[in-house]
Amino acid sequence: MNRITKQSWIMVLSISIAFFASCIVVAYWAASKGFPEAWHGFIFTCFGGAGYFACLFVKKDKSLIVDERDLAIKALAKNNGFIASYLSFCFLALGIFIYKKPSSLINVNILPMCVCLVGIIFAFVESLTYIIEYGKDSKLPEGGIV
Amino acid sequence: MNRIQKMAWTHLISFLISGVVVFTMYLAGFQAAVLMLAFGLCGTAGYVVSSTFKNNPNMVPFDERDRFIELKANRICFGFSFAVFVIVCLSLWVYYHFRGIDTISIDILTVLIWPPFIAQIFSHDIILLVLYRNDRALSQGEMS
Repeated sequence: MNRITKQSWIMVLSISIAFFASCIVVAYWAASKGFPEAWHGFIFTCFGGAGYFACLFVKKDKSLIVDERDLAIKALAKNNGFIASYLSFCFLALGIFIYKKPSSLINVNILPMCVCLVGIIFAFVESLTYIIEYGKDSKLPEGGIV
Repeated sequence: MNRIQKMAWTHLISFLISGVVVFTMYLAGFQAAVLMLAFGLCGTAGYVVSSTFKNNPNMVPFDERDRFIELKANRICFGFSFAVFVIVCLSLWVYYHFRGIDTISIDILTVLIWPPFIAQIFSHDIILLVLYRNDRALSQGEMS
């Protein structure tokens, strides 16, 4: 397991834990306050972004060389992250638009929340792609087709 | 000029034509839905035309260098569109928040889909052309 894979695992775990914790908060607030206030509990998913601090704890191995394969995996992970985050925003925006009446009003604070959501989904999918691609690659024999 | 560069040029020209068409129609007083339809049709026409381009039989159709350029262009243009999305969202939030407006129309959410999309498709072709141009300047065997 290399440095990027370790960081990715920490990121995936931190986002997953934060998401489940926020689900518990939403359920608790739904019972006590009711909807739509309970939806605000999902803001706790942003704590999953703390996984970015993993780069401080996972030290860089100076003996390793970044080759073309690493660059290709990096580009693929970022592409997947951007596509997933953009599509999720499209589905969310259109879902809210269809769910509510066409001329209804929404809170302006939904805009920074959308930015947070898109960032979290990007980080999650990027990390997941790193794990899958490096995991897939490690099963191949040396010199095998990536 | 290879097939990908020809395609990128065709997309850019079709976007420019669609921009001119939409602006002319806007001045003529057409509705927003008709303008969007015209933009979509002109833009799609460029993609349809570019899909008919064939590979030069004397050239390698798509090698590792092309793949890296494609991935790099995708990465840069997605980053650019992400930045556009963040800037648009936060600018709107700052604008409304500091004017004491708490609620906005739900239509803004669907409008927010377009800026990153347009930024992505427009910047992708430009970045692709720039990367191919930079790559051509290097001698064979050199790292890009």
